[in-house]
Amino acid sequence: MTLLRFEKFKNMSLALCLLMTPLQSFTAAANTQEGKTLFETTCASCHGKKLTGGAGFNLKDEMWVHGSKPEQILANIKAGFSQAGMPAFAAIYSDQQLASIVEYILSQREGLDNLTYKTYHIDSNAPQSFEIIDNLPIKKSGSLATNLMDFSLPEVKDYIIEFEADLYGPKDKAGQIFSMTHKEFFEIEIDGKRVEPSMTDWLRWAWPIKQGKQKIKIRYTTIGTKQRSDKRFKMFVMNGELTEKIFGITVSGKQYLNQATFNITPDNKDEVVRKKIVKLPTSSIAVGTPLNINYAFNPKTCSFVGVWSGNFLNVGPNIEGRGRDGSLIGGDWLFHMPAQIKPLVTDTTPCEFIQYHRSGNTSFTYRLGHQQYRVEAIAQDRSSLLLNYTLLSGQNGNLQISLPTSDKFKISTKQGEITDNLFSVNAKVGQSYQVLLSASENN
Amino acid sequence: MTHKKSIISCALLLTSLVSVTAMAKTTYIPKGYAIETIATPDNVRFHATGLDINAKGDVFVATRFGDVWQYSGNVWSKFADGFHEPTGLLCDDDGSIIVAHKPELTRLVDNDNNGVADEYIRLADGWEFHDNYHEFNFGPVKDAKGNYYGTLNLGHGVPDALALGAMDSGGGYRGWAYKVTPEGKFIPFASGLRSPAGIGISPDDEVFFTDNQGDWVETSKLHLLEQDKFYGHPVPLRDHPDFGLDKVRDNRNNFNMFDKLREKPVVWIPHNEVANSPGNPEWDVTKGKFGPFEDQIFIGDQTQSNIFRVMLDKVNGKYQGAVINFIDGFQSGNIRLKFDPLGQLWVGQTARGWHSKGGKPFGLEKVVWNGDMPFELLDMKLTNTGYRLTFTEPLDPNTVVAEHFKVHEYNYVYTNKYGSDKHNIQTLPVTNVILSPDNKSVDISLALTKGKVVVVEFDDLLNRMKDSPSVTKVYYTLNELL
Repeated sequence: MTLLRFEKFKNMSLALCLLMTPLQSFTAAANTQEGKTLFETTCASCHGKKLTGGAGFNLKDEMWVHGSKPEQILANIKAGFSQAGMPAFAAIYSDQQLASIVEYILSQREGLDNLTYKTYHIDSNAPQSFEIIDNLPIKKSGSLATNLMDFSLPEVKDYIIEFEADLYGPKDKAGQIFSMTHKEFFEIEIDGKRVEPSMTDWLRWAWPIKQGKQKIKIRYTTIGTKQRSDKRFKMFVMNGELTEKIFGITVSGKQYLNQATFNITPDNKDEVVRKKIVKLPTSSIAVGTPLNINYAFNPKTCSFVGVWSGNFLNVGPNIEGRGRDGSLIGGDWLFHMPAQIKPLVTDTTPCEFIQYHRSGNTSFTYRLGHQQYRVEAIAQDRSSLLLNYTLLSGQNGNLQISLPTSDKFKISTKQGEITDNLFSVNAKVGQSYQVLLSASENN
Repeated sequence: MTHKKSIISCALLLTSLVSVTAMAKTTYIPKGYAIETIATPDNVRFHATGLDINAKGDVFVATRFGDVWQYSGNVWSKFADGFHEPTGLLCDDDGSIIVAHKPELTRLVDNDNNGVADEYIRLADGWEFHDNYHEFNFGPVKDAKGNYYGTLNLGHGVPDALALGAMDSGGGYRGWAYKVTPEGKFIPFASGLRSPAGIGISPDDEVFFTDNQGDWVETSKLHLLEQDKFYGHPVPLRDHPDFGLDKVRDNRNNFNMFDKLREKPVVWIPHNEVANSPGNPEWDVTKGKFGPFEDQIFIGDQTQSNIFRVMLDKVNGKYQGAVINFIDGFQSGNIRLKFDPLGQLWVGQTARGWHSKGGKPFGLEKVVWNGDMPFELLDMKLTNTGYRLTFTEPLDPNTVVAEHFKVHEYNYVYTNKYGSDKHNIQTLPVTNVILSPDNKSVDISLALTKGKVVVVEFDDLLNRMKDSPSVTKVYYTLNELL
């Protein structure tokens, strides 16, 4: 990774990016939260709020063309890349501010680093064991600047290959290495300790890893495997639940994820998508609005089961290959299941979903007992969503909706009342009642 | 919208919409037939897994990506989108479109007649969907009384699911066929299905479905769908009131018990030789517009990229019959077939995630007939002494001799293993042949045993013009003897 790659900036207007100060102030001044704030206000426009790139480079993956060390990053930011549209930031921010930004970038690091490999040639009748390499000469070794493993490097039939690297796993949660392989033989060590696989299903092998930075060693032998199988294995780091491929650690794995990117962006009307979506319940109806506030309605419960701001959806993971993985939201959650905005139902008033309607604002029609409601979700701006409930038919009666709580948003109403996270109003046929969800200013 | 889909405008004017396929590697095709490729909208992932054509000839396609496209007057326009991997579509009598996608059977209504659906109505969702990639919802077809039928695929890798082999069920009628009444009531209809990727309805209002080879399924097959019947995969019985989880688990190795409970298929479809992943059965009701194979069933195969025919035979009141290859060399995996009012057979295709011989990832083709009579096996019926083979044209009598009919039989073995080998393969001598007065039919005599697949090869048969049939091997599923 590098901060910028020139060819990516041919058409870039001013990229307001990063800067740094003397290294000595780096550690002392570092403040990841401050760095996050500065990054999002100054750098995210080019490098993406999640550091995954845009006009500027991806700043969290394994590729650092101009060096991945803090001092190298600092130098690059300080000098800028004027030809590529990134100015020098030395005179813009204080040393302390720049230190915090760099620390924040490094804290978001993912993927492999300092990747090296060794290969050993073996006889076809050799045992399926890695102990034999102690007595074998290293046929070839070196470092891989791509920081992506390729198990097909040896161009012989029978071999053992061993990779060693620093692995930057997910910072906030334990993950797993995941391999789309079958009847292949690997051995994995994390920080010098062998790790047993947690899953050995067909095309689904997984090994648990730690959070954050760790040393990893992966060995592979062709003995006992399908000789003709393609050794360009697809390997990833996934979340612990194996629901989301976070990044690839092999060449093929990264290529697979690149192909599994298909962003859906509402332009001048709502986009409606029913696909598998990470963190949302099955059958959910996801709606992206042109104002970049998005939500999901679940027809099984007649509930809003998620709201997020920012980009709508990357459905790529759900339409690549057999479509095993869930789509990923592009923005930030305000809430998601189990939090939900849910009408109170009883045994005598179950929710029965009828339909959704797609001209204008998307709306949903359902029955609660003998009452028929329509709820329309209307984006007000990027940070607020108005839910407009209308009692279409049935008898007048109490409409009660349970609400989620969070410091990320507030929920208000001009009709009825909200008490103990419950919106209540005496609903009349033909009348509409609004609930407004607004993101907090610091969200 | 501005994403990749935005490249498509809602109505795409396409010139030169039809071109003859150049890439198809066809090794068998009857005389007079040709494959034509339909240009699909640019920059659209057009995996055509739902296909129907209304009486006006408007073609509607549901794609695995989740769109519904309409093709009218050589123009594509997007009718709806956002579905969860549809694998079926029906043009209903009232002009609405029904889409079978994973979580729901959804009716689409275009209220303002602007060519775009605005109402997405839940028609049925009475099953459980666990967000598993394999949990397809196939269908629907509609019978004369207005009932809809669909089939639900088992899962693969569903957490905490019941598996007695490769496929599993997390419950909620996975591996069942279902019926939806005109009033909208969801009825679990029959159980024991595995990957029932094709459902169709006959001119006689009978519903048939195909199932894919795999665990508990010896080879792909075609069944008549009947209420409350069990079709062989035990995992769906977890939702059956007479079974439940424990009873299914307790009998996991009791192949004999499940074998006695299950229905026998109308035809076995030999693996690799004919099909691996058959789609929907489509009846030729074109009244001769598609050639001589009227009332026969055509089925496409996703893996083999071919189409094969099924010739039904009703013996002792039960269907059985024969399968024979028809055309291969399609550009992608054939999963949906539908005849249009002109008698042309449209072919919806996909190859994502599952290999197909045709190398393209998706597409739409059609088979057209130019009126030239092909020389092919037309029909095969069981007789008291063997079989009657009827051809489309008179045979050269000199080639109709017993040694020109090479016959063998075999059977499959029902277990939880992934497919079955052929067992008890045995040559059956043909003891006599009798040619009909019109020289079109041959009665062959041989000793038959029920419970077998009987394979008849006739490479040396010729017509009067010394032509050979394009396909000379037919497979008869012999459940019953006369």
